[in-house]
Amino acid sequence: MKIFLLLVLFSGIGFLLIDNLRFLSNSGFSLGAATHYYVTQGFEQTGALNLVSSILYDFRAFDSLGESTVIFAAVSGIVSLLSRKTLPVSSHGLSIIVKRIFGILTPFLFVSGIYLILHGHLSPGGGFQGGVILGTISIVFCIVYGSSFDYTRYSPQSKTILEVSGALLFLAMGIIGIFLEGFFLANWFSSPERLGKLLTPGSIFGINLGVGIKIGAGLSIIFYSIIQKRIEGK
Amino acid sequence: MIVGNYFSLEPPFIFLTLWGIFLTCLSFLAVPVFAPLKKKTFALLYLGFAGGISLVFLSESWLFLVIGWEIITLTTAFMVSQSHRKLGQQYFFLQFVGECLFLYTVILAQTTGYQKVGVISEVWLQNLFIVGVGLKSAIFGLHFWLPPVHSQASPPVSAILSGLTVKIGFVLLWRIIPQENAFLLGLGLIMAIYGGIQALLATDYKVLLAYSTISQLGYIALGIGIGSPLARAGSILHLVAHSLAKSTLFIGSGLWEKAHHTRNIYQFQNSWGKNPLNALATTIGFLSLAGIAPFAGYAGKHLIKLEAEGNLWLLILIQLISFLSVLYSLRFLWWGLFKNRSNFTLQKEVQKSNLSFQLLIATFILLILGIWPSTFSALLGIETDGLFLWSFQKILSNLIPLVTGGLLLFWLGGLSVRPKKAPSLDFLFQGTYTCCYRISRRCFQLLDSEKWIKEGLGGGILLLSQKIYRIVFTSFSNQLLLIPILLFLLLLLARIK
Amino acid sequence: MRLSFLLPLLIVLPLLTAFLIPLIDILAIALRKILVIISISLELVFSLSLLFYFSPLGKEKLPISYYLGGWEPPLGISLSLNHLGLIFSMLVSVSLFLITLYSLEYIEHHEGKYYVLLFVVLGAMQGVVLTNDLFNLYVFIELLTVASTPLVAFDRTSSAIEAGIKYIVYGLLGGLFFFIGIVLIYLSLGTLSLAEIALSFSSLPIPFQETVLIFFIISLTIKLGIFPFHFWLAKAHSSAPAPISALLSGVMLKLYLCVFLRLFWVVLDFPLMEASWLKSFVLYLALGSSLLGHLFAFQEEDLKRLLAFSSVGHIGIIVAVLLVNTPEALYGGMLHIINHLIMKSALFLDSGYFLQFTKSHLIKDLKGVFHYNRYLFASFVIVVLAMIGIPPLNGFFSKWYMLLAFVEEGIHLGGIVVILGSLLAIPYYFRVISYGISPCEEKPVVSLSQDPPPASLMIFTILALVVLTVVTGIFYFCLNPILDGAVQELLPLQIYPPFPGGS
Repeated sequence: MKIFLLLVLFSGIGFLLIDNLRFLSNSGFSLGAATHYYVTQGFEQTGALNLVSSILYDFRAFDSLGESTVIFAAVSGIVSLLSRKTLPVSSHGLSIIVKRIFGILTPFLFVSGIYLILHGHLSPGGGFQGGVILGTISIVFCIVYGSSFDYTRYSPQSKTILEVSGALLFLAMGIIGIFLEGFFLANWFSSPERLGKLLTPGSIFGINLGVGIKIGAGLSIIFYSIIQKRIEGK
Repeated sequence: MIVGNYFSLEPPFIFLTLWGIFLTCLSFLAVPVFAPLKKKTFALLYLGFAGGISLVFLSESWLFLVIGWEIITLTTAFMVSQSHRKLGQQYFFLQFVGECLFLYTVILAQTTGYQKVGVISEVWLQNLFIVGVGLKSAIFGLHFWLPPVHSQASPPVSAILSGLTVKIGFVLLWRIIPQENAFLLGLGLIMAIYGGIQALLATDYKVLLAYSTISQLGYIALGIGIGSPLARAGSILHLVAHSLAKSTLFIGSGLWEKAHHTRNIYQFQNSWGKNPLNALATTIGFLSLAGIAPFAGYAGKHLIKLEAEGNLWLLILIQLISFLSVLYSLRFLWWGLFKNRSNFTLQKEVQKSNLSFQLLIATFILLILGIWPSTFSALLGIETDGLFLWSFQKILSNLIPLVTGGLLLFWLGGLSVRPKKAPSLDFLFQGTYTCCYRISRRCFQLLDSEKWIKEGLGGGILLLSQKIYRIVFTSFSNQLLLIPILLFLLLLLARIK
Repeated sequence: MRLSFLLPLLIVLPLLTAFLIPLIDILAIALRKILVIISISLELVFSLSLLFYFSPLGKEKLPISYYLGGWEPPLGISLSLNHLGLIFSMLVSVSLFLITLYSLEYIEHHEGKYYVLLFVVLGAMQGVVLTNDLFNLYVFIELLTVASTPLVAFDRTSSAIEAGIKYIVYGLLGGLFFFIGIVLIYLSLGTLSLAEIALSFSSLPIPFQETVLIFFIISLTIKLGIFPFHFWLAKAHSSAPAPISALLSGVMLKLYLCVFLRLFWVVLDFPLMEASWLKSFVLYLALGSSLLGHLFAFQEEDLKRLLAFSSVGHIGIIVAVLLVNTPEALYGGMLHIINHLIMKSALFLDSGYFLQFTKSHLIKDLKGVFHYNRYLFASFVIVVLAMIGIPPLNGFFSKWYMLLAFVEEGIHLGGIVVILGSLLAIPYYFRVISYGISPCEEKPVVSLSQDPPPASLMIFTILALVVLTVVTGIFYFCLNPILDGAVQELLPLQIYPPFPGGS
């Protein structure tokens, strides 16, 4: 009975929505002036071949600041809610085969993460994506080598410092923008001859780097906060 | 400039303000006797009260009027709760309900177009104001709180409650109702008769005073309701006179309670001996209430009677009301002051309760008010040339009720009745509170939207997903079947396109 | 125009502080308190200087705007400040300043993370107020939700965790509907700048416009805790620590009201909403919610839940009165926003102080607790009186203007709800007071330690709020220039009387 009512409810909502939004499918999506500008002028204006990056880290960089702060807040929240100060340390991990193979693979994973971050303005990818890969490495460490491996080598403090420095790098890029261009988060890209090169003097590169470090460290912190348990449980 | 915009500095209001401040001071003089430990608190509260009074009487803007009145409510509620905390809370709540009624009426008046406090010509709005003021000024039907509160509060507080606080509403009605208003007239008649009868049957002295307040308020309402200039003048004069008389009587009641250790009027003994000055003040106060010339209450009543002479029925009713007030005044004077004065000896220690200065002033002014009422009416801005002249007829009209009342009382044996329980608001509040609590509990359980959403929507979605899961993933063969189904669907779609 | 650099600074400064606190925690933990105080004071100073420059005394004129990255509105994100924004920015700065001071003595564990989250919340709040871009608004709203959830569950008891989960689920649901609205707008108009949407929104077909409006209405109904979605509010506001309750109930709800005002009056098509049944539907829903909020508070046994339900009541009446949409109504509504912020924060902080000494939050456990500090008890009584609407405290004036607005438009139900709300409030607050001052033989159980913790800052904060209650009551007309400016922005075509009702 409940299911039937729900079905009626949802189909009713769907029907009404389709009816009310028919206008959209009739007239097609409207691409505003902004979209047009992004597509035609984006590369020249921002120096980023990757248009997504140019929008994320230049035109709408403030949104990205907010989004990376969301991750930052989530990290702080999870740490404050879940941290119990005790970590069940185990050094068992998986079998030797997996350990060896992963030992070989890790540098490649790391390089691909760094590549995604550094080439964020040239090719698909960027700080968020690369950062996630970096964070994954630390998670796989825990699974493969046991939780003590990562925990003893890279203390939570160092990860926090990394995360914070990433965030500060983002803000620093914005503040440099004030001094060079007069606006917060302005892209201080000014040398056309380096257009499309890896090391461009623009802020997109720096912001990518900052976001990448921050996301990687943040995810790792979240993971290690979640796997912590009360010592009594052991 | 602001003063000119928001305050009216006309003679009656200035006089009323000064009068109010004077009465406040007079009542405050009694505080050291009745609440010696809380003098500072009371001083602060009386100061606030005086400020509120001046704001209410002088303000021409509705906003300031409401503010002033609310300050008065707040200060009086705190005063009441100094001695009776529960009573203070009950009083505050009732006054706040009255405040809400009044606020709504004021807002209606303002949206109707009356930006200033002044004459209001729509009768429906006048009647709304009567109801709006009703609870705060104890108009009949909404008067139930007055006897308990006024009789239980401590004497100096009762004095300003009964003397000033309930009068504010009538001053306001006096300002806004220019002509006759049948509703108010009727209410006034009922109030006067009801209050008179209740006072006649009361055994507790302060309850008697409280009911007599209702009856005298009825008189004032009557005057405003008749609406002719003289009647209005009479009612404001009576208001002034009654406020002084009632404060004096209430403060005196405190002294009597101290002297006799009871408030039951049948047990008053040797009053003159215990405190002759207070006895004198009480006598004059009651004669003022009764409207006997040459005491204060007489002028106002006289003017109202003069106005009613055109209408026979009204005149008869008013005479009856006056007779009632004479009757209950005489009854108390008989039982309280004159009956048991056999062993007339001055008792030193009671006399020391040094309110003599305050009582003397009050008595003196009550006499002046009665003997030269025209000076006071001039201060109020009322022309009363030659209305207060002595004549044979007037003396007769004073003597007849006195004598007949005395005879009637004598014949009835002083109208002794069995003592009643002290009036209390507890039952009302308990009932209302329980009722409200039940309603809100019920609402909370019925309208628990968390449960609806959790069980209805959330549970439903869970069930739905389980159903779909069972349909789709029942068996391995069914899962395999999905492949041809998908293929068919895709082909079909391609075909349609 | 030179001052416009303050706009991004107001948002970035708290974020910067939030980023720095973990670093300071590692390097030198003693410096954290100093950093927190300096940063929150700087924020207050910036905000006050904005107020000073744009008040009638200053020479500058509102509105001003700031283009982030130098990109003009359709391309990039811009911040802008008008009178409405100025009011809310001020409110956020001042209240967060006081709440932070209070927290310095109240919070006892995980302080580092607490201040990180508090400053993120502050930055997000300023962002919500100042941003001029629809998607950016959404980002900041989500940031607000995500950052405040751990604060709600900060006590880490099971009920707090449950409240936190409910809070984030409903917060995200509200955000989801908001997001659908944004998607629909972007698909049809191709722009996210609020100003551009305002220009062209009314050219869309009416059923489409109504759909968008409905999505936003549902989103904000959830966020504001209007009746069918009120329960998460009571849970979250009651189980959070006291300064966070004050933050949620006092400030954050007002912030969603700011979003509500900006979206429906400035950006989306208010005349359409007025013409269709949507406006009256939301108005009567809000009125019902208000009445129910007070009724629910009446039967509540838990002090903080009682305060939270009373917030439901007040938010309902504010939404209703804003929807009446006359100058008086908007004026009264905004006055009540300010007043309720002050009063409710004061009540939550005050009760937070006293609840330190009791076994539980139940009212019957409050016995005699007011004897701990007479001044705070007096301030509690004063604020309760303001809440009920006793002049010359601030609650009375907003009540007056709200009544005036309702009666003038002939919505007598609204007037009756205002009156009933304050009538119902008396018994439930008086119950608290009479339990609190009733003498009790045994000392109340002190839950944390035998000595009351040092609390001079806490007391200062509460007294400051009480002084604000009295001052904004007596000198409420000093707010007129800014409030008038805000009302004029919302009602561009109408001329507003300078001092309504006074004369």
